[in-house]
Amino acid sequence: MDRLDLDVGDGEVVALSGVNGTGKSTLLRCLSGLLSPTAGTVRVWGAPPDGRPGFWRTVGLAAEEPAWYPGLTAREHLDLVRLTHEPLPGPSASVDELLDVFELGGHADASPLTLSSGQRQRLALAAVWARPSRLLLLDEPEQKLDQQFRGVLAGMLRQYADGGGTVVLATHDPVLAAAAGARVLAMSGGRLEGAVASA
Amino acid sequence: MSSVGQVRALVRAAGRRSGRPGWTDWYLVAAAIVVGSLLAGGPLADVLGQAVAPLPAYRAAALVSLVVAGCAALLAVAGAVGPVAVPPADAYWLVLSPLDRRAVLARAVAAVGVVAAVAGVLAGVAVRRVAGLPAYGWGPVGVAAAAGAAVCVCVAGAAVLAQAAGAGAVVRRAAAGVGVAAVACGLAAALRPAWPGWSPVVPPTPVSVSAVAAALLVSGLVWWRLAVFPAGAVLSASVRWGVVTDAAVGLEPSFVARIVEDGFWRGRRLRSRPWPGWLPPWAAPAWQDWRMLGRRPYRLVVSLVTAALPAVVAVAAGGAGLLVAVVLLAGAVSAASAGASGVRRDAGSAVLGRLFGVGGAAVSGARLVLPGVLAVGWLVAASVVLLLAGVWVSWWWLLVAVAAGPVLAVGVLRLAGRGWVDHASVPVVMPMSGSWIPTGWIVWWVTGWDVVVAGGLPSVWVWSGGPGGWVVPAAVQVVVGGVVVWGWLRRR
Repeated sequence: MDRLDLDVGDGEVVALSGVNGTGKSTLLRCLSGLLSPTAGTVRVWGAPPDGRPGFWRTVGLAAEEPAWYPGLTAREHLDLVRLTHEPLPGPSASVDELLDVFELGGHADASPLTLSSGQRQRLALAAVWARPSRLLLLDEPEQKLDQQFRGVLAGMLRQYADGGGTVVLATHDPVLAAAAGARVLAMSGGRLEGAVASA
Repeated sequence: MSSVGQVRALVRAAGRRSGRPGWTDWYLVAAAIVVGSLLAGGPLADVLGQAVAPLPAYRAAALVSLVVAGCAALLAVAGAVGPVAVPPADAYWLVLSPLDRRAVLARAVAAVGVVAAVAGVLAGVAVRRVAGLPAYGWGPVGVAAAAGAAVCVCVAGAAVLAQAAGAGAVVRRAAAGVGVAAVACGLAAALRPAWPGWSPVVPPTPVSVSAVAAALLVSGLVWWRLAVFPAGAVLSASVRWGVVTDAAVGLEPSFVARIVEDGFWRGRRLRSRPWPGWLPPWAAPAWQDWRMLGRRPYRLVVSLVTAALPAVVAVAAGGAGLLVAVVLLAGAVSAASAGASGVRRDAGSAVLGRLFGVGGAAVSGARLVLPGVLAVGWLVAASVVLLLAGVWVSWWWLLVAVAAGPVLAVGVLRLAGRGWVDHASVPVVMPMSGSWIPTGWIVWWVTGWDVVVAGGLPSVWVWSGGPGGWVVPAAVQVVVGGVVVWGWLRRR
């Protein structure tokens, strides 16, 4: 990445677009603290993202498909997320509600390994939503999802932002970005070309 | 929020649904412990029961240099694989969470420490045994074991701290430098055996106490650093470990070689260059081997430095013998393997041949050249050092090194081209018990080394000091080399 300057406010959905290899995923990794920039600064709520335990109290990350515990069911994976995170103030969806929203109610007691790739993607997203977060970093969350659920996902992103949360996602789906009311920023050759669309 | 212990308990409880360990599992564990104890008991009794005169200073110096080079190699390997890694599911669900990072990683770090300590105990006892053990009993052996364990724990701890600091590459380069310097010092000791008034042998007890104190200090630093261990470093190491585990479970060692090479090339920015216009089509596949080697020049430098190892080993062991012959053979194979990267990559694939529109003996013959040159070059360099160190006396033995080249080249290409383990091969069924032995992985391990060992026997005969002079074995080696190359090309 080069000469990249970006501010994202609370309650905003920012969608990074661009062809493969332009640095979208790298930027997300920098924002999550999994990768340190060789020059320049990255700040999340005023502090460098360090990837330490405290950072993950309020940040949810969905990059590539997670590794699943083969002995745990879909519901138990979500329970595990709840066990490992302190709840934030305010209402939050129960595990059963999340399973329903992500259309996994009928597969709650199935091992993720027996689910289809699209169902596993929905479970991975449900696990991100199960975290009590204020910032979501999503790398191509539309992957393997059918068109109908992409619409559902867009609505959830909008709802999350309306609740005060911030979303930064890399996507190849302009319809999803528009439906989520995202500020779409085009990346090219590791640089931010600017806003290409606003909804 | 729950503790790490509670979370792990949940995962364990769920995992037990798929089956508790049966009596056969416990039997296997117990049998492994008993067999391991029996195997270790003999050498340990040997160490404790026999006095050995201390080595002369120059041999002890060579031994110390080998130990230092071994520690540097351990540090480089530990840095390359992690060393702190957790199962992939733990990496995603526990590391990327607010859970106490120290509690999440404690088990992985403890495993690294135990492995390092056990390896160190074995190395310490072995070194003490070779260096000389004038007194009987547990005392000196225990001191050596403690020193070995402490040194290895220090090395592993340094690798962990480097991983936490994101300085793995720097530490690996430093380790390579230390290893090269250690081999150079060993070589100096081998070439200058008479150093009046100087002895590298230091009193073992103060060394052990210092090493243990250093190990405790490093362990404390690691424990302190664990609380803020960066998640990214654990995640990438866990991915690497996942591949290594898959390779072990699936008996697919090629995975490991592949990921090491992929990791190397992924971290480099390459510049496209045109292929030479004069290059005939049948030489095109071989050219990629030359080009890839040219893009890894440091590998040639390391190969050149390791050519001193046989002399250092010979001096430390007290003369040439089968051990030195084995080191020569293994070193030559290792050096020649640097020229077989392309074969390793397109092993078993006809795509490349179709791409270039070529095939057959000409292509295979062209690809033999680079491994052959590397094998002969390394053997000649190693032989020269052995001659300069006075371990060997006849310069004619250089001809044996040259004669061994073709066989080693074919062996290395067979090693590189063996590809995946054939798990569908017909197993051997034991007539009495009805149990069966899979043959795919046995064939995999034997492939390549069969040609190297069987074809290289005449050279090994000379190098290990077999009776009868060098002329006949060298002549036999030339004939065997010709036959092996002819057979190799005929099958293409």
